[in-house]
Formats: sequence, structure tokens, C-alpha cells
Amino acid sequence: MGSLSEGPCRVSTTARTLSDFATIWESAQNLEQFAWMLRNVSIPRPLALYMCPLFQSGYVVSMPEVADVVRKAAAVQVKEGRMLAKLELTSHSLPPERKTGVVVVWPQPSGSVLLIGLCPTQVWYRQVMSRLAERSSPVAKPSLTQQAMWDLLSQLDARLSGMRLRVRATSSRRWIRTSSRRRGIAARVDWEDLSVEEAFHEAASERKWYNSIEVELLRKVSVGPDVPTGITSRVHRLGFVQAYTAFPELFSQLAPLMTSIARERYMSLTGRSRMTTPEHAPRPLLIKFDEPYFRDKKNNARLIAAASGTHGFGHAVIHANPHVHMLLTDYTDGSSYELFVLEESSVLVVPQIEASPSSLDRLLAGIAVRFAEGAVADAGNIDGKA
Amino acid sequence: MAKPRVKALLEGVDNYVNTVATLVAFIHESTWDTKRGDKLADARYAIGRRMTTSAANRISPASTVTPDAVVQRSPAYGLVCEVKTNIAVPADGVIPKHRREDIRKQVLTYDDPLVGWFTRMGGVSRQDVVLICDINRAQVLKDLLDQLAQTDGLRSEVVIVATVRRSQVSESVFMMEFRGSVADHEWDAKLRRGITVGSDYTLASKLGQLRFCDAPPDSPLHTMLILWDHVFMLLLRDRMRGGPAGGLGIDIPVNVAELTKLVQSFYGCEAKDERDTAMPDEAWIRDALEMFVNIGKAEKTGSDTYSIHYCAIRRELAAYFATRIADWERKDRARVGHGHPKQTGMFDQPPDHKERRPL
Repeated sequence: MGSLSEGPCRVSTTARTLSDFATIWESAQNLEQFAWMLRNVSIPRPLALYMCPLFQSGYVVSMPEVADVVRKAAAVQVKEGRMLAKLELTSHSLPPERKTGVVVVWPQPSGSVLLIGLCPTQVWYRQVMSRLAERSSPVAKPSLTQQAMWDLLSQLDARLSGMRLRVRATSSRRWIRTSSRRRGIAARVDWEDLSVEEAFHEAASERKWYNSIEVELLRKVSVGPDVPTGITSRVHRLGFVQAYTAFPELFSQLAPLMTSIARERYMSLTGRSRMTTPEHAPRPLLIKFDEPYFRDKKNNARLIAAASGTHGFGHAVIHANPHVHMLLTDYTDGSSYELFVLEESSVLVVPQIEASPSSLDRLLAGIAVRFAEGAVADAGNIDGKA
Repeated sequence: MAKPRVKALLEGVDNYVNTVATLVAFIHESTWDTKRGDKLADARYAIGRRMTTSAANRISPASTVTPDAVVQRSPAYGLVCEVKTNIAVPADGVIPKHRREDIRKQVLTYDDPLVGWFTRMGGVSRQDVVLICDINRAQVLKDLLDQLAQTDGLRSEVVIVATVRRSQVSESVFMMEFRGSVADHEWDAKLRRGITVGSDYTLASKLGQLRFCDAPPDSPLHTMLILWDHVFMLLLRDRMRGGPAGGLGIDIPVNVAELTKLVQSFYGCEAKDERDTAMPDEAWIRDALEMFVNIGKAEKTGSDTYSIHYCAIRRELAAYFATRIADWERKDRARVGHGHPKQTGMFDQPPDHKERRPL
């Protein structure tokens, strides 16, 4: 009975919020003003605010290009170099309030672009915002490593005035031993009450890696325990932040920090296409794990599944045991790779003729999420080895 | 369990990659200066270089021959290399007579002061012949060469370098001198003790990007995988800006000559002078494109042009293509067996492909 009476009401609340969001976007002169005006807007569930930075050095996403990507948009508004698009998913049998959302593309002076979405579901985020980021290739939507998530939250914690962060929930993965000889990856969600430092130290001691971390803002008080504000935000490994309140620090602190991490990630992944290197020489990357996973040859198959399971990728296996040699194609933008396991604790990724930072980032993130997180570094000058 | 033909096709790709990797490992080692920890300053090499035999050559006088690779360690010393990783040796350990004769002719052809080296006059003062083989074939090959030395007499030093793939701490190619000795004493001593070259070098270095050698792959599958995974999308790239949907089920027009040049520049060799052989050969690319036509992934649109029906294949590509090839071969055999020869298209050319020869 309740659902019958609540349905239309919820639709109208959602519609009103989307409309308010568009009005604020139109009247705001800049991102700061937009953030400030947005703080008073209540965001009713199932709506959530998503934010992710896109980055490419010396290249600003042009509005027609983005408009082309989101050409199915019901309504696109362009103003002073920024864009707002209201989109409705047509291919899903979802109730109306779960199909419509708004996405804003806000170019930054540094050349990066901030993508802000008011999304009704994670499906909407994946179908619209994430795809927008992927299709805007060669713009990179960098994912976050465990260390980057730690740096991001520590720096945000330090920059908050009169407040601190508390880790409320985590979604993590870790290798487990299911029997005396078999090992596997277990995913789990934990409700926590930890500081940022404690959460990452715990992850290191339990050898687990986070897929997302939900933090809450606590107001510091001089006497007694810090007071929860109810303002929460979830940082995802795949390079976006989810929030239910547009708290000012989301745009003033978290956005620039993520942009800076995005830039760093982008720079480490750029220029690896053999099309652009001198004499078409490869510029491989080495993923170094802290455990000799490939001593157990069953993990070869796990790695193959993890790499080939990356969204939009196709694969061919040339050799699976004892070493791994596989070819990977990113059907979304034409990037391709050869992947090798030649040592017990490392994976060599050799970008081929085309290799965009965005595609490379998704492949590395795919391996990190579905297999294990390792330290990614340039493989160095292989030609110079004796 | 994969069908035997599918399994053979997949093993063929792996063997070919290994053969090329072994050649890369030897070239790396023979051009490396251990003392300086760098490439030998004067070293040059070429894969599939056309060399000229002398008028006194016992098999092919004054003609052009193409060894798998030539390595010139210095302006005075050169190595003529042949890879024999996959010589079929029956259980009794005796190489069939016709294969022995092939090897005999090949060795005697190279046992001759060849011209075509990277020197002003094209010759070197000392030239050795190196046969690179798997360790389990080394003894059989040694016996054959020893016999050859007695019956025919060998003028050059014919060295056997035996290789074995190791995967203990890390993947590597181990190689050691099994017969004869190379001219450079220090290098000879090192080669006699055995040398390990990491697979990261043989597969991921600049030279390790080589995916073709002088001999064609056993089947078109190897070339098909490289084309589908690394090359076709490149031709599609401009159309991909619209998103993944644009890449699904799209026709890509290709020209054999242009495609060959593209593959040569990234996965083979380009001819730098008239003696160099460009690899892969245009015929190998044509073979692969024809097979795409046979399995329904392409259409022949002209004598040198094809239209590839490109689509995102989510299944494991090597097994997928191998299965399709095996199915087509089976149907083709049945068709020929029932007296219906394979239909020829209006653009079909008489077979002009380079003859496949055993590695």
C-alpha cells in the first residue's frame, strides 16, 4: 500500500532535485559557486552525486565531442564551455525515477575536466558517466591504487578544518586459502569505525585491497567524542566519488586532489603506444606483486580470467602454463597489449601499436580488482639487459 | 579436450613464437659485449638476408641463399644461423633419409664463403655456421654433422647451439655450445658453459617484438591472431571515436600490400637494402586473409583487397579461430573427397606462395 502512495511522490521529489541541479548549474558562475549553491540541495535516495576527474595534458575535451558521445541525451545545454546533459536510459525496465539523471561536464583551468553526475543508480553511472569517460578516449579517467586511495583520504583528512574523517564501511578483496592446497579471492564488505590511517594499516596487515571506502565527516569537539555529521562519501577504486550530500569539501578539496592523482596516473601511462615510440620500441609496464602468486600455476588461469574480464576486452592465449603469453584487444578504442607472466611474482604488460592511457588504466585496474593489486612501474630498458 | 587438429594449430602458434624467441635470444647473445655490458659496437645482424654463394659451392654455385639469420660480430667474423628447433625425430632417434638430405644440402650450401655481409666488399675473413636446436635434438644433429664431416668434409666450423626453455625462478632460454666452437675464445668459453637469456628480453624487448622469422608459420592462425588483435583495430581507429558500438560488426577494407607493410614495420622486418628480406611475406598475409574468408570473417573484394567483417569476439580468440579453421578444413576435405573441387573465385590467383619448409 505504501509503495502506491509513495511512488508518484518520490518521482516528483527526484524530478525536482534534478531540476534544481540544472537551475543551479545554469546560474552558477564557476565551480566554487556551483558547489556552494548545491550544498543546500537535499539529494533524496535513490539519487546520488558522482564525481570523477578526466585528464589529458594539453587537451581540453571539446563540447561538440562530448555532445557526440552523449548523443542520446534527452536535453543538452552548453554554457561558457561547460555542458549539462539530462539523460534517460531507454534499454532498462526500471521505474522512471531510476532511469533519469543529469551529468555535467566542467572543464578545469588545468586542462582536466570534472564530470559531475546526479545519478539515480550505479547502473546509470556505468551506462552514462563511465561510458562517457571511456568513449572520450584519449582522455583518461584514472583509477586509484590502494596507495592513491590512502594518499587521497589522508590529504583530505588533513585539509578539513574542524572536522575529521572516519572510515565507516569498506568493500575489499583478499586472497584466502580455502583448503590446504587451494587458494582463491574472497570479496567482503565490512562496517568499520576506524581512522583513515588505521583502515590502511589494517589492510596492509590483512593483505587485502579496497575496492571502495565509505567515509563520514565527524565534527571535532573540545570535550567528548567527535560528533557524526551524517555526511558520507564513498571513494571507489575505479576513480570516482559517490556522495549523498554535496558538502563543500567535495569540490574544494577532494576534486583537486583527485585531479592531481589523475594527472600523475595519466602521465605514467601516456606515450606507451608503439606507434609513437622511436623505432616502434615497446615501453612495457611491470606489475610487481608482494607474493609469488604464480608459483601456483592455477593462478595463471585466474590472471587470464582477470585480464580478459576487463570490460570491452577480447583476448587470445598463446601459452598458459608454465608461463603466460596472451594477446589483449580493447574493442572500445583499438588499444592492444601482450601480457606475460615470466616470473613468480610479476606480470609484464607490453603495449602494442595503439595503447591509450584510458585503456591501459582500465586493464591495470581490472587486474588489480579481479586478481591482486601490485606495484605498477616502468619495466625499464629491457634492451639494455645482459 | 580440444580436437587434435585444433590442438595442433594452437601448438603450431606456440612453437612458432618459441622458434622466433629462440632466434632472438641467440641474436641478442651473439651481438652482446659481456665486458662492456652493452651491444658490440660493430655488430650487425639481419633476419632472412639474401647471401650469394661462391662459384665453388657444392650445392648451389653462384646463387642466392637465405639463411634464417646472419650475425656479423665484427667486420672480420660472421655467423650464418639456422634454427632447427622443431626437427621431427622419430622414436628410434634416426632422422628420415629425406630430412637428413635436406639438412646435408643446407649445411653444405652455407659451408662456403658467402657474400652479402655488412662490409665494403660483402665478405668476412671467417664465417661459422650455427645450427640452433632443442637440446633433445642436439645429439641426433651432432651425429649427422659428424658423419657429414667425414663423408663430405666441412670447410667452416659448424656449431650446434642447443637450447632449452627453463621456468624455474623465471622464464628463460638456456643455450649452450654442443658441437664445434665459435671463433671468439672468450665468447666460446661462455657459450660452452651455457648462457641464460631472460624471456622478458626475447618476448618484450624491441627485438623481442619480432613475431616472424624467415620461414612462414605452420598455419595462418599465427598471422590471423596478430592481425585481429593488434592491426585491424588500428585501421578502424578513426571510426571508433563514436564508441564501442561503432566497432561491432563493421567492415574494414584492407589492401594486402599496405597491410603487409604495416605488419612488417611492427612485427617483422623491413628491407633496408636489396639483400634484406622483408618479413612477413605478402603471401603469408594473403594466406591469413584467405583463411578469414574461408571462416566467414572476410570477403574478397578484388585481387589484392579484402573486406574484413570485424566484430568484438568475447571468446578466447586463438581457440575460436583454430576451431573455425579445423571445421573449414574438414568440410573442404570432404568437398574435395566427394569430387567437388574447391570453388575458385574470379579473383583467385594461381598459388604463388612461398613454399612452406620445415623449421
